[in-house]
Amino acid sequence: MGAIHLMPSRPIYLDYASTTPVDARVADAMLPWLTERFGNPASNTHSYGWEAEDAVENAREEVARLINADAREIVWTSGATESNNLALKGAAQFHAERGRHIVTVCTEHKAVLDTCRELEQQGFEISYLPVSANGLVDPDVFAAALRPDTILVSVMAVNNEIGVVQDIPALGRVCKERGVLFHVDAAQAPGKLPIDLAAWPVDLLSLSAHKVYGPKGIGALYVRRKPRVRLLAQIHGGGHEKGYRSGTLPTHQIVGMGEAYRLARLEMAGELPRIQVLRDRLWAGVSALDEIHLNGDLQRRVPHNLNVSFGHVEGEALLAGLRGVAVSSGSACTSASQEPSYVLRAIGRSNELAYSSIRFSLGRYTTEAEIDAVVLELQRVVGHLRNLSPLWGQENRGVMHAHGIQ
Amino acid sequence: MVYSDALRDHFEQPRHVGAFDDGAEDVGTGMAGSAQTGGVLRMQLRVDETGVITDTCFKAYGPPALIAAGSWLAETIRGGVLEQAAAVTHKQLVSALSLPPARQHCALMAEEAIQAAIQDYKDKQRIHI
Repeated sequence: MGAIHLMPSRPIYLDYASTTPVDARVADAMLPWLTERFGNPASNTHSYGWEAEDAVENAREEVARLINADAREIVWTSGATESNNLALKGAAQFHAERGRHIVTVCTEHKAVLDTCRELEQQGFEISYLPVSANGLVDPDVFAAALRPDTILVSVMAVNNEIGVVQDIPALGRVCKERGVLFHVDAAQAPGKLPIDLAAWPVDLLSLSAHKVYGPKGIGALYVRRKPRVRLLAQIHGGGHEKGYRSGTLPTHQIVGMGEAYRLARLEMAGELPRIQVLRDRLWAGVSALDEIHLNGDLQRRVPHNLNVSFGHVEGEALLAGLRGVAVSSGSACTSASQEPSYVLRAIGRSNELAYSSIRFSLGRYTTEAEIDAVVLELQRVVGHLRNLSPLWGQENRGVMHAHGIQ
Repeated sequence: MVYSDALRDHFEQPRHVGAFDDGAEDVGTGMAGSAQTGGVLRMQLRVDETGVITDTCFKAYGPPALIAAGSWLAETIRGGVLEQAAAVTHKQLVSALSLPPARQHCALMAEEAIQAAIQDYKDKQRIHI
């Protein structure tokens, strides 16, 4: 078990959607492959290479098992961002003769949106679909967006900001009927909801390790074999991973991802209810305050995520005032300007509410005591800031109108 | 954004938060900003017969820099006379709180609000005379 919560001097960590600590069991599994069993898995002339190759193939099997796929359908990458790049660029470039239209959703991760922008530079046309106020794609809007020249669709399984879960099987069926390749960015999904690629009509699926207690810097792309999905490789040099992705395989990283996925498979059923209870406890504490707005559908959402806008509380003051809690906010702060979250704007939040939002994401080591402490701190900060505001409460009646700037 | 110690202090433990009766003849009230611009500051002062500011208070909605500006100003002008309060400039505020360029408008708002409060008090005295 991780020991974060036992270190009182560090903030309470509620930012698991950003990254997770490596599980101690995963770290233990990885270490020997750094110093002792350091062989290159591609060295097929000696036992250093053979044992490394075995470890890689065992891990590949573990990743495949979590998503109910065949191990031959797993391609190792440096992470979900690279997997998204390989899936989108690789499929688009391979199928460019057939058509140049791609459909995605405006709330996708930057790894998808920025890759789509790049594909626009390469001569592809992208449709960015809107979402409803609950964060979900409308199936009719989706179907209407597909054209005869559409070659690829990309929809994320779980939104990283608001945690909503798209209806991947339904969207996939539409794609299959229309002969369009379907890519799913599932970086936030493993360990949070069951993934079944035998049942889901999905052609390409991006996976990450560091969102599920594995190390950063390793991920995978699922590439369907039946029917076979064709991609143009983006990284060349040796033809590793059946030519899909060259580069010496990092055995220790792959072992880590395999072990993390194995643990997720074994422990997900037990973990989900526990985390749901904690998340509901957090929501109960937060929603007891006035002017609280939940971002994204409460039902169609992973249990780990709670994204809330706090009305009548200025965003920077809220985040600055929150002591001892590590969370993410609804804005990306650059040196001079702040941009409100495009996901929150997409579900209809005003700039002000987007700035005043917090994403709480729970995980394996979150405790009830931590949730209670966070609720108390939120009540303190929100109460303090609203008390400070001339716009909140009774005594401001009349003052706003009687006196203005001279 | 990095906050100076002074800014953080005034933000986390703001001094003189509150409201005076803005109808009272010895109270001056001034505001700057609006909800739409993302920051509102209200400064109030209570003045005795000799022109000494015996009490101050403020309320603010906005980033930490604005709250700190209100608190610093409310504390600084207390016990002084109106002329001294009128002489406080936004540059002093920027310096006292080490405001970064992106937040220097908060100092301007504080200067506006206190000027408005002083004027409001003076207007009331003219009416009485």
